[in-house]
Amino acid sequence: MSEDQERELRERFARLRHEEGGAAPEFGALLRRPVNQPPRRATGPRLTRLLLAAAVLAVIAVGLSRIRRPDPAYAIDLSSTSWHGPTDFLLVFPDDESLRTVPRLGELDLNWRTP
Amino acid sequence: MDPLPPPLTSVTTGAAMSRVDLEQELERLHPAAFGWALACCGGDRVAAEDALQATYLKILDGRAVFEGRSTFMTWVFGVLRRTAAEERRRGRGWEWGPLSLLSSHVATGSDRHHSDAGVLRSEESSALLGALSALPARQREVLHLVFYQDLTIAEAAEVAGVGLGTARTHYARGKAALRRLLEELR
Repeated sequence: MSEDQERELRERFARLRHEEGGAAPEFGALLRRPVNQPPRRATGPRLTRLLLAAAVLAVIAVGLSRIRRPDPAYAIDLSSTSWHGPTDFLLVFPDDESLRTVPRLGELDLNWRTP
Repeated sequence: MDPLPPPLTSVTTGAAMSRVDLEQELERLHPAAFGWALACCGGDRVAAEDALQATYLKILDGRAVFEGRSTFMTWVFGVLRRTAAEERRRGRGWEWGPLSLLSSHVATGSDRHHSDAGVLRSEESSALLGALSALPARQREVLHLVFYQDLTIAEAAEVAGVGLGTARTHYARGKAALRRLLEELR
């Protein structure tokens, strides 16, 4: 920001200060006037809010209690079921047994000698 | 707003001040403090007057005590900034809740006594305020304190409750953004 721009900004703030300063209430009058209380709610609405909150909680509680657990009569015994994937056959190929087991090479004969 | 007359000796030394001295000092700062109150309350005159009155009462009742660790002006501005935030929270806390819609017994602004006149501003000043309102709160605060109140950045940092480096950053970024916004408005 150039010096001119900064000076212009200061002048604008000075004008604003002048306008607002002139609109300031009289000091003594402001000090001695009755104090404005911030808006407060009476007990009635507070009670209403509490009752409403309680009602909302009650509705939530009833809603949660109505979420039904599965009926045991229709429960599925997963241990008694089995499932086979439709593409299992793709994993079966000839002699795949050799890939799943350790080959037996027979016993080693330590007394073997070359003729 | 005229330049401020010199402060009382007790203010500069931080010695205990009588109520009369405090009132005198607050009256001296009153126009500047009103400007700062408006800035803290988003230009809402009613809220600014309430915050300003609450601040004065807090100081005069001894609930806020000046200990001479800063200038009296920055201390008062700091108290005013906190008080405005407290008033805002207290006044609007419930209003923001969705449950507030259920209540029709809220005291409205019309129930409250205040100066009926708003602050009359020129078009140029309104544009400046409009641009300022588009800035983040911290940048707005620091710019107001430096340009409007003629405080140093260090004093502005004290009032805003931030470190000097942070205030410098807010000042530089805020100034650039404000310049840009004002040019866009032209």
